[in-house]
Amino acid sequence: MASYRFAVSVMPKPGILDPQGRAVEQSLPHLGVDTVHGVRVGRRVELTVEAGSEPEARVVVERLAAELFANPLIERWSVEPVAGASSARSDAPGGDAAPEGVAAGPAPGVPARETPGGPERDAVGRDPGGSATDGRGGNLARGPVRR
Amino acid sequence: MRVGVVVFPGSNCDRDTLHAARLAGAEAVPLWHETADLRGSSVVILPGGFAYGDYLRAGALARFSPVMSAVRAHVQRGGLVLGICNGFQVLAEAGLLPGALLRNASLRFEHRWVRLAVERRDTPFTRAVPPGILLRMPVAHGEGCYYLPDDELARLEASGQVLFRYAGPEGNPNGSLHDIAGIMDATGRVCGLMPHPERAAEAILGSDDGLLLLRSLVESGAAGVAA
Repeated sequence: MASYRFAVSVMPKPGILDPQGRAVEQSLPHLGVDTVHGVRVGRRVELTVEAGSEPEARVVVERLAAELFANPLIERWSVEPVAGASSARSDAPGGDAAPEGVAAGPAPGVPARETPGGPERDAVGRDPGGSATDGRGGNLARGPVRR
Repeated sequence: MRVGVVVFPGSNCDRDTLHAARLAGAEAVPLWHETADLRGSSVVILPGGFAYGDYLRAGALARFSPVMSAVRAHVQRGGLVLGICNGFQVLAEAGLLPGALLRNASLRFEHRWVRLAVERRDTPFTRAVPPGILLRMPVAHGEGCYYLPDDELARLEASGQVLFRYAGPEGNPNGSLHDIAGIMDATGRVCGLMPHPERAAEAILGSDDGLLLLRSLVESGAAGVAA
């Protein structure tokens, strides 16, 4: 097992009114900046997953993104590894797990790998893994994030 | 006829709603979010407030409460559910009602009196409303802008699921599409609205129009029990 750290970026879908982005944009002239437009405000969730491999960890993150971090009706998301933040567990005595356990995250400066299906996958209608309603009301109560 | 009012951590209209349900003639009991027991309630109300602090998105975390699996089963058995304000947001996040409640177009928390046109009076939620009146009640929310993609919105309208619209001189407080203030699901057994009927349940509060909705629910719940 190793730790894999990911960042999930959640953004309002194109066409969804983003009053926060608009308010930010409208304030920019007060800073003397009149060359900026298209401001959109989203949210970023970072998390660490314990898993046997990065693809395994990514499956967990993708599920959480679709069922909890984003509302697929109004938001889309992208998942990327956080460079340099993943690591093998140090609790294995003898430690030969370390070399294979180290997550193969991209080196700093290397662009993050994209989510299968695109950098900002649209879960409504385009997610090969489910229908538009599968991401809503899914039974996360059985899963690890139950509160 | 028993009405259960769900209490999430952060609910703050639960006691007002219990009080208003009693005024409407129901026996009203609180339902703690950690239990999946609806205590024999014929009608379940999800009250206003800020369940789970509204963290992430309003309603997003509350939908995983144990009580919500019981609410879902209640709906599947044909039981009645009303979501008020934050309760509407929870029902939308849970997929029990279509659509999403976005940040108000004004970006402000809107708390003021509005008027509602009642689109249908042949529903369990509006049967006690007399024809031809606008209901006066308050809104108090930061995320009440109803959104549904165009094609789905057209279907919602065509199937008569829009139950309440902002109307009159007070207008639309949050930028909701089609001035939508409240909707039903496809079965007509689940309803959500942003305005607060329980805060307009006695004349001394400035209006008792909200009591008409709670009376409708109590009548419907009683009829359901008898049947």
